[in-house]
Amino acid sequence: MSSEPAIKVQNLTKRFGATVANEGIDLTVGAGELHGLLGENGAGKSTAIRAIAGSVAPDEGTIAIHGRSLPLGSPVAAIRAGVGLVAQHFALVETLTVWENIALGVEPGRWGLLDRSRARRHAGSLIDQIGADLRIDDRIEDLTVGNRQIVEILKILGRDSRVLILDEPTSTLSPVESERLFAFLRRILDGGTTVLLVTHRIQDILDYADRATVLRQGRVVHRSQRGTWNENELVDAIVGETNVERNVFASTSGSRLQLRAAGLSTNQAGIRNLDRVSLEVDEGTLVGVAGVAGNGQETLIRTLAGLVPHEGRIVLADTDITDHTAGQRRRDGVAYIPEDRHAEGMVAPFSVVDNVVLGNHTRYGHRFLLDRNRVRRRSAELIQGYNVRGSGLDAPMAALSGGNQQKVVVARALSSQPRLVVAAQPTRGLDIGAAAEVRRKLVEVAQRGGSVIVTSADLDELFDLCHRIVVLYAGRVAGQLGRNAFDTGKVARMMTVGRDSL
Amino acid sequence: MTSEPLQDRSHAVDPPLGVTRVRQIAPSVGVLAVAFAVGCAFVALSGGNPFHAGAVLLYGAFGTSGNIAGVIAKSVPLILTGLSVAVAFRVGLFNIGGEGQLYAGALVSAALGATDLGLPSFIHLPAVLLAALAAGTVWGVIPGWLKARRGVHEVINTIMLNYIAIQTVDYLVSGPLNAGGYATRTHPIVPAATMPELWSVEPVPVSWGVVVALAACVATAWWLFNTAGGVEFRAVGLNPKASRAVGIADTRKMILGMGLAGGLAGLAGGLEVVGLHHTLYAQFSPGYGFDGIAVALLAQSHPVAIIPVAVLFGALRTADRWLQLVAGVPRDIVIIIQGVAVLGVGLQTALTRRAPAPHGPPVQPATAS
Ligand SMILES: Nc1ncnc2c1ncn2[C@@H]1O[C@H](COP(=O)(O)OP(=O)(O)OP(=O)(O)O)[C@@H](O)[C@H]1O
Ligand SMILES: [Mg+2]
Repeated sequence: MSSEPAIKVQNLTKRFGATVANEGIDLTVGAGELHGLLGENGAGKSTAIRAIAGSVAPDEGTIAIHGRSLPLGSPVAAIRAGVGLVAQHFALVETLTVWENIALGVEPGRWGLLDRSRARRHAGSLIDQIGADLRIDDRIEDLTVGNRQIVEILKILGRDSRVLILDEPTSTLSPVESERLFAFLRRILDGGTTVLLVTHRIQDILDYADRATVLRQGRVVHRSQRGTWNENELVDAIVGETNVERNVFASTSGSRLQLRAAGLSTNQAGIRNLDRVSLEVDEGTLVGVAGVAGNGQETLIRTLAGLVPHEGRIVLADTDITDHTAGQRRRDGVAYIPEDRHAEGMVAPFSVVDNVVLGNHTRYGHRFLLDRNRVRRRSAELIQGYNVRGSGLDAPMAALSGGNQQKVVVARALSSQPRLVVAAQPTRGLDIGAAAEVRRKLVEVAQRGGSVIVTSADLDELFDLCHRIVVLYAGRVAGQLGRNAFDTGKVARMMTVGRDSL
Repeated sequence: MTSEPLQDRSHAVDPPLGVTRVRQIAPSVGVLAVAFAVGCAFVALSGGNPFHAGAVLLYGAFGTSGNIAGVIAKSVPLILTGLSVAVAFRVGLFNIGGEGQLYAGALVSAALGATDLGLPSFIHLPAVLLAALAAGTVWGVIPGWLKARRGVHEVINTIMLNYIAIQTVDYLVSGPLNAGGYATRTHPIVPAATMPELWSVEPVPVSWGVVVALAACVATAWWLFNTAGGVEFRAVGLNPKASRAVGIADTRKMILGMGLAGGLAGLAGGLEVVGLHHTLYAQFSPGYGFDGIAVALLAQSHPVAIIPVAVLFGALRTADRWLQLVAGVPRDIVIIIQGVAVLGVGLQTALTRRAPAPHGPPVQPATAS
């Protein structure tokens, strides 16, 4: 067995209409290896792994798992061969609990009866193995994106996959969560499982992978392995020649107060995700909100956007917007970038055009009639400078690669010349170049006199970007740090114990 | 060259409109073909000859001008109730209340159309139809409001409102509004409130109601696809959370949707009264409100596709008694065909959901992933 590679892909080609997503890809992953698959947004990573998992039928090529060739385009055959795919976008049933989602489709039991206690035990032991901060009876809809990602992974792991494929699992995870994930992956790798990992975080590869393959425009452009690779070489292979500038901070300043939020509290089904949070933000300022996932960061962003009922007051540049709906706040100048683009950021069957101007259609028409040409021109203008790649403005949003969808979501939010941008993980799923571009756009907002409140699973991103960092712990402000006091240790302490000193 | 930066290529790459249309229509046509095949099998099982039965159906529907007029008479309410269900689907709601809304519209128009108010026809008739529309709208807005603002499922409320409307009509038609005599019907509609004839055929002339129904389809399609309000309406139906996040008033759209849906079904009821029966009978509807669900499903909620599907159902419903009389086959075959078609659409939706969505996982449960 072990002499055969776990995954052997030869000459894989997949076209979507005029778009060539994969072109003659060869990929070999040895048994027990952690293999990284890298590449810019739209490079064809998701398409390639979905071909391996059988959910995309390639036009050409062969795929073999542990030496046995797979019929193409058959998810069932792939699962039987031991392939488990954790997709880029979640497929959890939100109204069900963690254990129910894990059991779904592979319910233990006899004669069609669900063996509840066995299913619950199984879920519980999986959670223990990975060391996740989850309870089996939590409802998916109450979980943070990071925890949903964990449940997705557990769901697949629970099926005894010997070849585990993960599409950007770390993009929403905090460093601590990522570490846990990789520690867990290390254990199953030692047990003989093979892992193919798609990621935009080079650090994941440098720290944990054995080998890496880089795709660009559907082709393999680079292969390397532990020991011989170096970061610059990988970055160059991913983004081509462009230089990625990490340091985007600009010391903008404004003296006037932009936002005053006082005593914000929320109560969602008895859970106080925010507990008397107060926050003041000046014009021209970027404020980062840090915290371990689930400590209120996303709720704060959504509350400011007008999507969560809350107590307390919110004043935006002298206007009290406390009672304003999400729509009114948008017109007041608040732009929202959601954490979960699929749930809150896009209408998947709509065209890219309609998604770019979503919520603004009423502006483009005479009286009732929509001026389609104006809408199209305007949306082409708006996504210019975001380098959105795909097969045309009229293609459905669902046909864009994950990162390109994210660019559209960001472009839409920033297109309205907002006073205040509230952004939950705005660079989620973006390649290094695109992420840098989005950070630059956020800085531009501040340079124009606007303000930005941003969360990120990546503390370094907040350090690069922000004037100030606010740490939330259990829904409360645990502390704030100005730029010259940024310190990973300090922030981490506040994140984990709720205060600076022990 | 793989993917390139997006640009305006509206004039270059899209497949010609016809191609996309064919791709959209194919599934429904396929389902219908299967349904008819099943129908044929049942005909054969009950000792009939499928070809003969088919010919009889065709004749029964389109063989004489009287038969054609009969088909039109049945199609008009089906078009409007189908459209009603389709509009609700487009905003993500299920209007099972078409029947009650239809009765509400019929009742109001029978009440307002039976007395000579001394008004000219061009005022009285539109007033009666608008009243029917308004009554249906109220019957739709109630569950719409309860759903949008209170989270009560619209299916439960629409079903309850069906009972209320149908029973109320039953009571009023046999009691306070009864025209006397043996029939349970109201006083006849006065000439000023009667829909003029478009095509005078025996035994049942075709009124201008058919034009009203067709116009409603075209207007709805135009609104859904060419206006900002329509785009936002569909956005709410496809992803209410994302719509809310970009500032679209999703709950208002839901109420609007149920109001519109109710209004269209109410209009169907009004047209039955002023355009066909010229009075209101108790139990006058053979279930048009429910058949509208089947029509909307097969038409994939497209307002214009509603028309051929409604005509098809209308034809089946008109010709079915000929099956019994001439071909000696039970007329319920038609119901079987209709049922299989609806099942087929349901199955198809379930299957395409499971097929790999563009970026989805291989098996996609009901959540928006
Ligand atoms: N169902 C589809 N229909 C049309 N085009 C598609 C479809 N799926 C993917 N594509 C196109 O194929 C190309 C590769 O997409 P893919 O999702 O594989 O990229 P990716 O490398 O995973 O990118 P990302 O990092 O943004 O997730 C893109 O140009 C995308 O627009
Ligand atoms: Mg991808």
